[in-house]
Amino acid sequence: MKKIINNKDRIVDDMLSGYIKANSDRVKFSNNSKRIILRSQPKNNEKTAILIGNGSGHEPIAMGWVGEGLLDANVVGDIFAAPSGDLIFEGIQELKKNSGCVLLISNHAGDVMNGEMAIELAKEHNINADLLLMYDDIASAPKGSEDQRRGGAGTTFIYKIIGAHSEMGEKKESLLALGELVRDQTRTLSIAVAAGVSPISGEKIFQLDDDEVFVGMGVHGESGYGRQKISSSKKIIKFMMDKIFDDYSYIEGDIVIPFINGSGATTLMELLIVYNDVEEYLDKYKIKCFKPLVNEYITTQESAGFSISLLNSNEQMRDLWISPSSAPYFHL
Amino acid sequence: MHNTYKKWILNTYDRVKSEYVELDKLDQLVGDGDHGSTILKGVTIAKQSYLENLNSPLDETMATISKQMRIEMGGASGILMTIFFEESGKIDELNLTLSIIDIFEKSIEKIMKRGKVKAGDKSILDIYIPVLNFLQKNSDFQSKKNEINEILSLSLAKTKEMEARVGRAKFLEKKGLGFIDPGAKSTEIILREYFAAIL
Repeated sequence: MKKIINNKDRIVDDMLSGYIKANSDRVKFSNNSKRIILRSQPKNNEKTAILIGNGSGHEPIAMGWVGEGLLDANVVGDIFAAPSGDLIFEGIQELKKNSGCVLLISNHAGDVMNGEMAIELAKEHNINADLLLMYDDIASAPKGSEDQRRGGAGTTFIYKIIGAHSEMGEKKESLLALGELVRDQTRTLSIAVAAGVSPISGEKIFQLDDDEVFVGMGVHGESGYGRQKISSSKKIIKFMMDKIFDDYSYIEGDIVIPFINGSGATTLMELLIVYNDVEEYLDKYKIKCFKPLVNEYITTQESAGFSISLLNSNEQMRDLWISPSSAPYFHL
Repeated sequence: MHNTYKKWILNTYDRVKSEYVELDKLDQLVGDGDHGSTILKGVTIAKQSYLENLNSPLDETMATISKQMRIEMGGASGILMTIFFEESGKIDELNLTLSIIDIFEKSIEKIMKRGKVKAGDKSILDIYIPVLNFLQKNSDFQSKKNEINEILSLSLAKTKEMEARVGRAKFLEKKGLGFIDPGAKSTEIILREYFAAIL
């Protein structure tokens, strides 16, 4: 394993310490835990707070999205492991003075179990908090079983849109409703090109031959539609977009927000070629694109590959998507 | 009972310490390759915390170490595997047989609820449930340690032929078929050491 680290047991702590030092104008540690990242300047208590608990190893998500117009807190777990419900609850307690609290949870087994436990603890302590489960990866469960799908890169739309909405003073119930609508109108499909190395085991996270790609593979090497020989960007994009279009009914005139997310070791050159082909595909169906996001945001170490996420948007979503944010690693 | 439980925790730590590399290797085939390291983190804090809480009532001690293990381990294994540790604090020396059955019943109920998991899903439950069935059918189980150990081995082996319906393994191409479940393996260690200590 070739990684620049000090001690395997301190990877997450060292990383977070560096992150806080590098962005001390915008984020800080909680006084109670160095696994809880907070805004340096908390938002007004009358507003609803938004936080997420997630495993690390996927940076810059989600610590990089704590900031004005986005998240209020991120509770950080070990590498590829959700933080415990106890720790997520501590994160919620940091925000208990806010009028309400929305806990975002990406649909992965450990995240959900610990998120649900944290919400139960919050309710026992009379804290007004609810969980919003996020899922979007069409390869992980069939149409009709959307709530069984994994959370993928398309969850970004929820973070940003309800984060921005909360900044305007919207109440928890309205944020949850908007978050669910964004979720229901988002589809994501990913492709793996080469495996990254787990910092814990030192081994490749999955096995792929040099001339193979894997459509629908999850961020931890979970299976999807299967292996195929690598081909041109246009052919790969057509295959992936056909799957997305089979899953969601788009109509002429729809305006989608596209997000092309790199998995950690895919060049910006390739991601922009991919975006070019995605927009060309959408253009054939007379579907317009609005302010796309093209970069590496939800990574799995040095994995190569990307995902395509599309949010079929309305005007409110688009306005919130482009509203300003001070989060250190969110740049439209 | 504190000395018995101390023996359980310390022996479990020793077993995990000597087997965690193998457990990591097993998890590389069906998960993200860190189950052994995660369990080792859990039992390391359990050992340390147990020795610090020897003077508290047993149920309080076990609730404390269960919470510390959960925080240290995180993930699905942290929250599910520590349920038994917490429940085990409710053992009643004056009513040993029934209280042990109750510990298993409550643990299984909580694991099913929290993990949304059932028998045959290829999980830690596929160790707990056959053990509970045996305990319920054999009121004299206190004298049948060898049979309990056989059930543990057999139940673990059976997970090899199961397709995972929960956790990360359910998304793998072969759903973990052909490999024993890493969580079931660590559970087998924990329960084998538990019965070795209490019976």
